[in-house]
Amino acid sequence: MSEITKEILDRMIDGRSSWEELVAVMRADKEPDRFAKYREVLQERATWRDRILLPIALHLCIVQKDDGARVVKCDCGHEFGDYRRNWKLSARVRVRNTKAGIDELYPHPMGCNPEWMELREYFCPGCYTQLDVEAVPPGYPVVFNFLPDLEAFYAEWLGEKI
Amino acid sequence: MRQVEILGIDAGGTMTDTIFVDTQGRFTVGKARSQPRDEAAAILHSAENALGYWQLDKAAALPGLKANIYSGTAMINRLVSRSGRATGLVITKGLEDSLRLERAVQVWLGQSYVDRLHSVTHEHNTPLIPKKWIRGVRERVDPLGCVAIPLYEADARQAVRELLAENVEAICICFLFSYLNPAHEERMKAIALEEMAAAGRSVPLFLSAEIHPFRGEFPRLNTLIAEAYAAEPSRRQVQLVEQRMKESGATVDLRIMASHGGTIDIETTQLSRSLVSGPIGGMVGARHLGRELGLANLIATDLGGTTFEVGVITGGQIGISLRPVLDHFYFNLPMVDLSSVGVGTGAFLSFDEYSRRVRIGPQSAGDRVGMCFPDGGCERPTITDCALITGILSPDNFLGGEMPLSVERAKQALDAQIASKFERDVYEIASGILEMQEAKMRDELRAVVLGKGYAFSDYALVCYGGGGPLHVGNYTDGLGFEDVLIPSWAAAFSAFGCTCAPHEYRFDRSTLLVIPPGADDAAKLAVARAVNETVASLAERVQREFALKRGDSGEITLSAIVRMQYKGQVTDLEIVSPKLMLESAADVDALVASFEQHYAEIYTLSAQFPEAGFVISGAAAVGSQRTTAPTLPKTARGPATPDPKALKGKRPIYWKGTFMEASIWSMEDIAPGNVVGGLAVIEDPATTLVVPPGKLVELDEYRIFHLRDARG
Repeated sequence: MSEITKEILDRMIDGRSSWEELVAVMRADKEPDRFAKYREVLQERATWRDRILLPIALHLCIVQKDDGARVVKCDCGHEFGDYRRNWKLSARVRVRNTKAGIDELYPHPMGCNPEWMELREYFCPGCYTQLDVEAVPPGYPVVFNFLPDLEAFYAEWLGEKI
Repeated sequence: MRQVEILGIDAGGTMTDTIFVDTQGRFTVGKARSQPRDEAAAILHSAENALGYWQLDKAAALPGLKANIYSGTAMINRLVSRSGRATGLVITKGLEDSLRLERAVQVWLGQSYVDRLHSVTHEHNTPLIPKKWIRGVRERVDPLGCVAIPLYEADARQAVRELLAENVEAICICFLFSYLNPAHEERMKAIALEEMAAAGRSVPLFLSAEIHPFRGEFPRLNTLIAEAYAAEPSRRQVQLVEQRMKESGATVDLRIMASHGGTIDIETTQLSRSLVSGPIGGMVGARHLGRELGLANLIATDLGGTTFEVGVITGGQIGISLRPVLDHFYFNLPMVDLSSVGVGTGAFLSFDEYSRRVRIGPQSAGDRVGMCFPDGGCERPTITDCALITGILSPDNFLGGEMPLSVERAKQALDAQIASKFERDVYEIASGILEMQEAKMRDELRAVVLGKGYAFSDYALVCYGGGGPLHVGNYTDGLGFEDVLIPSWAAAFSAFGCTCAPHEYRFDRSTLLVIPPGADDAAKLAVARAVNETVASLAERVQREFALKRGDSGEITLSAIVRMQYKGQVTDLEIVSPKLMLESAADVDALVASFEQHYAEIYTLSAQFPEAGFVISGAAAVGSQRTTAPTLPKTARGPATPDPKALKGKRPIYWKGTFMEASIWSMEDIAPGNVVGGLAVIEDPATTLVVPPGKLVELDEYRIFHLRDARG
């Protein structure tokens, strides 16, 4: 069990790891600096300069702007605004709530009944990457996936200044 | 002039071990590095090494051999490395994806406990037969053995034609419930023969009903495929070994150690029996020891580099499992029942930063020993490192000093990687880790013995394997075994065991015979007839296997084994039938009584449930032939006090929180009758026996140490 290097993490992000490499990572103990390493990898991959505070989904990070604002930012650079407000509210959305729309993804009868459940696909307005999908009953409020307590996470878990 | 009589071969992945036994029952062990491309060469090197200790050469020794037993890992490696023969499969239509679905369990079978718990580490095996070589044929036999859908012969013909066109080198045929009614498989075979004749190309056919007529569709399929895919192609390899041995002077035929604990000829029709043979030897050796010493109930414990294995011998019978797991596959073979836990002496130690605990294993250094062995290339300390640090193991006595170990390297690694995290000194941590490991072994013993409903006080424990004697004093502590036996040849015990195995075939068949509560004589006789029929057909097969051997001689002893359960329960028990053939209702009663007694011994008398009636779920015929087995050499007992020259010196050992002065003895200078009290270390080039404080060992006339409490 050798060290989990930044190169391995980089390959994992793109899904380029072999199964053997992936299993070795899953079996290994998680080293205390894993988060720091992961953040460095993401920072190096980013096309922009803002400091990453916390990745919150594939392609999405909470970043710190020069003026101190903390915003949700896509890989492409599109900014969704303050991280305490659900980023989905300013994303592009496609709702699949018809049988035809669901059948496009799931061959009959493997899909859901649109009267009971709909699929909401959220896209980045900057690059049109699909960022998230919700499967919820029709009328259900937009789900706010994750509102992190950044101060506590940095102070109490990482023992670092934010 | 010394005359050698038996040769045991263990052709492992890294080392090839051989053991020669002479007419007096004494033995010598040789080692050589394995050569996958030329197995025979490695065996002959190893044999030369062994004979060298007796100043014999192989030209003089080999012609006198009366038994030559082979065990090895070639077949299982062929499975694991997927380097078997291109095999086609004809299966009941609808089940073509069995090998990809793997009944779900195979995604975690054979994995470590941690990996089993986490579904992310579950993994599908690459199927032994790819989908393109699998054909479904419409047919159906129901669970009572009646034909529900006839065999669609057009499907059958097309399947064979297509597989032949794919150039497969063998074809397996496996239909549902064929063990109850083989008619469709047999018809399929006839059709395949016709089609092959028409195509002018012939490949071997393997039928599940012929090779493994067992209940359990998936393991039956696996076993069938293993036979066609891995075992059969290995036959040539073993034949080559036999040929080379004969060119070097041996006159006796080679036999292979089989998973049920007997040895079989290399011409056998069922070579997959020898898929696993290594760990079987120790159990057979323990049974042999028990017979020689008059002990019927034994717990055999084998502590090797990777695992701690426990097996049970009750009433002189080795426990047999019919559903063993090999690598990641479920099989349907009678195999010596062993349970194992990954706390061998080579188990890696790591510190989990999150839980702040030490973890033992499951990965292991194997023959790389640990940090103490600079050439091993390990990055983490192991159990062996801890044994060196506390001083129970001497750095100058590993493999007789051929492999000098560095205590300093072990200490540095354990300190840096673990002890410093706890801010404790390295001795305390090393000793604590050994206690953890020994506690895990005790837990395993409790699980095996108490879990089956047995009591420690009814069993004697036999300890062997390279690391066994080092830890036995602690892992048996407080359990209350009747006796604890440590053969002085513990390190070579598995190879020794192979040489004790009888020449024996065993064939099983699943049955479904019900004896209802209050059955009358007519019903019992009907059951008796059915059992007899099964046993007779299996016995005939046993006879045929013996007949395959050229120039065979010697009398075959046959016995019948019956698997029984209370109707409605799920666990069956194996009992040796009181008679080979059941001739009367009274014989059936005797069989039932024998089952009930065995059941009561395991699950207590009050658990008996005759009101439910009985089911005979399987029968087996076992045929064995008397072979030459080593007799344990006996020397008269001398005084209790060892010869002073046996005392090599003193050395401080860290023992549970404090340094103690231990006496160090030379094992070969300890004489029968001698008693050594703890804290003591008795050393031999191949093994180290530790006697804890408050305990003593006594060497008996067979050179077996008995460990017990000093005050008792």
